Amino acid sequence: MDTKDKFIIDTILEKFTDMKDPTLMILQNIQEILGCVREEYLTYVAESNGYSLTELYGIVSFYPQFRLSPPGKHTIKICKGTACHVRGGAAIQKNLQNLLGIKPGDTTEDGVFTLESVRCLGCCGLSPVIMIDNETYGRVKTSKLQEILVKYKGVSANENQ
Amino acid sequence: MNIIKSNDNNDISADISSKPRVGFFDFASCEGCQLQIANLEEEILDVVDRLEIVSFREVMKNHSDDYDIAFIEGSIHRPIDEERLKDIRSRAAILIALGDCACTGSVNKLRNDWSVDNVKAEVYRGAEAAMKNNDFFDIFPTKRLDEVVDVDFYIRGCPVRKEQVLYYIKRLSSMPPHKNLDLRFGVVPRDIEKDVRSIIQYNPQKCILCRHCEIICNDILNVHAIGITNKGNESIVSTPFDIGLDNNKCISCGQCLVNCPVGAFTSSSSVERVLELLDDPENFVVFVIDPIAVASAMEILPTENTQLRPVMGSLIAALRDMNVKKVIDFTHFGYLSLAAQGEHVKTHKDMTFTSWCPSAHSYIEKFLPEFKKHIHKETSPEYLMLKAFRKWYGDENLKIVFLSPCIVHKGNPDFDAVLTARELPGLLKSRAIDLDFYDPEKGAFDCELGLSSVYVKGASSDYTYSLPIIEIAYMSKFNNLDAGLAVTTIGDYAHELAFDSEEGFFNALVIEDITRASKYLKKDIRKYNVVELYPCFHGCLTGGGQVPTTSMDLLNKRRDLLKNYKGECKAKDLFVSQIISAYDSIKEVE
Ligand code: SF4
Ligand code: SF4
Ligand code: FES
Repeated sequence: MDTKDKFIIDTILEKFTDMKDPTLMILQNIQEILGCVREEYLTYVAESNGYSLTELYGIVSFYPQFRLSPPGKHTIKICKGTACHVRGGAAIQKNLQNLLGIKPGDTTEDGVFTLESVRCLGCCGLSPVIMIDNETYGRVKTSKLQEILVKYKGVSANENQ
Repeated sequence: MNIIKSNDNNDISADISSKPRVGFFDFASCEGCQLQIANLEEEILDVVDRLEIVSFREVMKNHSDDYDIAFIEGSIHRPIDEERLKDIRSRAAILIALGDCACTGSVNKLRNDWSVDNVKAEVYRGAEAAMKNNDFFDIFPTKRLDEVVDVDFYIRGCPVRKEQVLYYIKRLSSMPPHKNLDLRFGVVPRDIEKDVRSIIQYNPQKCILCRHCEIICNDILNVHAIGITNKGNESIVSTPFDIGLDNNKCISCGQCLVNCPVGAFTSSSSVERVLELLDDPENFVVFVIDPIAVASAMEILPTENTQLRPVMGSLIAALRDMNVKKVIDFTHFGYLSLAAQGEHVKTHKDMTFTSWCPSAHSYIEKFLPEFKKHIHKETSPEYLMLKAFRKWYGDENLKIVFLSPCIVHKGNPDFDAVLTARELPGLLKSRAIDLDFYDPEKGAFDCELGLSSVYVKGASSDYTYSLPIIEIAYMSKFNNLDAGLAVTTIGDYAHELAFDSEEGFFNALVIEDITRASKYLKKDIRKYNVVELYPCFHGCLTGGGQVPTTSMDLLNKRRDLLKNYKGECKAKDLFVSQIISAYDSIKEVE
C-alpha cells in the first residue's frame, strides 16, 4: 500500500481514537476519501488498530454503501426499498444489469459506471427511483434507461454489451 | 386452531382442527421482512390456506385483536412501543421475532453508542419544540423484543428468507411446536455451495444464521476465523474475501461445530478410510481410544448399557472382531505425558505450556508467537505414543486409527485415520455391529506398558484446574506437594497455583477461557513455571469431535460416566512408580 494511503488511514484512525465504537465511521471516512474499502485498506486497519479483518469484512459486506473496489466515473444507485420494489425496482435492476453487463457492486470495464443497489432513497412518491451521481430519476421505465445512460456516456450504452 | 401455552414449562399444545389466526406487526424497522412474506407470490395461496391472517398492515386494511400467533418485525424504541408489544404478547399464544431487528436489535442498536439526547439532536435539530411532550419522540436506547417480552421463536436474517418463514408457517399450522426445539426447525436449502476446504466444513444450506458459531470464535475465543458476511438471503458464515478457514487463523478447535444447533458445521468423515484400512489383511491396525470420546458417543450409540465400562468392554471386543490387532487406551499415554512434563518442568526453570491440546498450541503459535518456544510437543501424549508404537510394532504395516474427542488430530499425518465420537456409531453400523451382542468382560485394552489400573484424573478429561498440575508434580516425585499447594483465583477464568517442593518453589497459571486469558498470557507470563490453557469449554468434554451439545446436564453426565469408569486408585505410589518406569522405557526410543 502506498505511503499516501497509509498516511490518510492513519489520520482517520487518529481522529476517532476517543470514540466508543468508531468502526463504521472509520470505514465510511476511508471510503469517502480513498474511494473504496479495498482489501489492503481493511487489512491495514485491522493490523494497526486491533480490529479483526473478519469483523471488518462482515461490516462492509453487510452495508451496500461500501465498495470493495474503486468506483467508476458515475455511480448508479437502484432503489430496492419497499415502495420501489413493489413498483418494479427489480425489473429496473435486471434491465440495467443487462445494459451494462455488470451486477450491483461492480464497475463496467471501461470504468464509466458503477452499479449499486440501495435501500429506500427517501422519495418513495417517485418510485421506482434510480440515482445517478447526485441526480434523482423518478417513475423510471425500463424503456427509458438507455436514454438516461447515454447522457452520461456520450456514446450508446449498447456498446457495453 | 386453539393454542394453549403451559405456564410451567413453556410447552405449547394446539388443537389443529381449525386454522390458526395470525397477525403481523411491526415496530422500528424497514418492513423488509414483512415484504418477504407479502412477496411469497403464488405460495401466498398456500399460506392463506393454512392461516387466517387477521392483521397485516402492509397488505390489508382489516385488523382484529383476536389472534393466536404474532409475527413481529422491528425493535423497540419507546415506552408506547413497549406497551403495545406487551399487549400483543398478552393476546398471542405464540410470539415470533421476525428478522434481525426483532431478534437482536441489529442496525437499530447502533445508535445505542450515543446518548438519547445526542441522537435526537443529531437527527431532529431545530425541531425541539415539536418533539416536546410528544410520545412519538419519547425514546430510550433500542431494545430487541426479548428485552421486553418472552419470545417463542426467532427467525433471523436481514431480511429473513421467505422460504424459511413459509417453513415456519407450515410447521406451526401442522404440528404443535415445542419452544425448546425452536432452533431445530428445519430450514429450506439455498443455492449456495458447501465449503469443504478445511477439516471444519460449512453447509450454508442448513445454517439458520443464529451466530452462535461466530460469537464463540470471535467473542469467546478471540480467534476471529469466521463471521457472517453479506446480507439477507446471501448471508453466510464465511471468511474475509472467502479466503477459507485455514487461511484465516482457524485453530481447528471445532467449538463452532459443537455449538451449532442445526449441524451446519461438520467435520470430514473418516469412516470409509477406517474400513479400507481394516479390509487390507496386510495392515497391522492399532486402534487408540480416548475414553472421553466414548463417553460422548454413548449419547448416540444404540446400546442398553448405561455405564462406560461395559460399553468400552463391548467396543473393544467388537473392534477385535473387525480385524483390529491392538486396542490401546489413550489415557495411558496421558500418564506418560504427565511424567514427561514433570521431568521437563523440574529441569527447565523457564515457563512451559503444558496443555496437550494441539489447538491450544496452534493458538499460541498464531496469536502469541513470542511464546512459541515454550511449547514442548515432545512431552505430549501423541508424541510419546507414536514413539512407543514404533518401538513395539515396527512401522512397516502399522496403521494407527485414533478415536478422539477432537477434530484437530484429523490434520495430523502421523495418524492413518482419526474418528470422532460422532463417527463411531457410523463405523459400527457399516459393519452391522450391535455392541450389546459383545460380552463386556471379553474386551480389555492391550497394554505393553505394564500399567495395571485405569486410574487417572485430570488433564485429559477435564481441566478442573488443580488436577493436571498436581498430577504433574506428583508424578515427578515432588513429595511434600500436598502440604504446600496454594490455589489463588486471579480472575473468573484464571487460577494461580503455587507449590513448594524439595526441588524448589514452583508456580503455575491455569486458564479456563482463552479470551480473558489473553491478558494474563501477555502479562508477566514468564514468571510462571507452568501454564495450562484449553480453547474448548470444559476441556475435552466438549471437544470439537464430541456430539454437539450446549446442555450442562449432558456434560455432567459425561463427567459422571468418566468418574465411575476411572474409579479410585488404591495404591497411588505403586501406580506412580509404574508410570515413571513406563516413561523411562519409552524416553530413550528414537
Ligand atoms: S474451529 Fe475454532 S477457531 Fe476454527 S472457526 Fe471454529 S471456533 Fe473458530
Ligand atoms: S451456529 Fe450453525 S446455524 Fe448458527 S450461524 Fe453458525 S453455522 Fe449457522
Ligand atoms: S423505496 Fe425507493 S425511494 Fe423509498
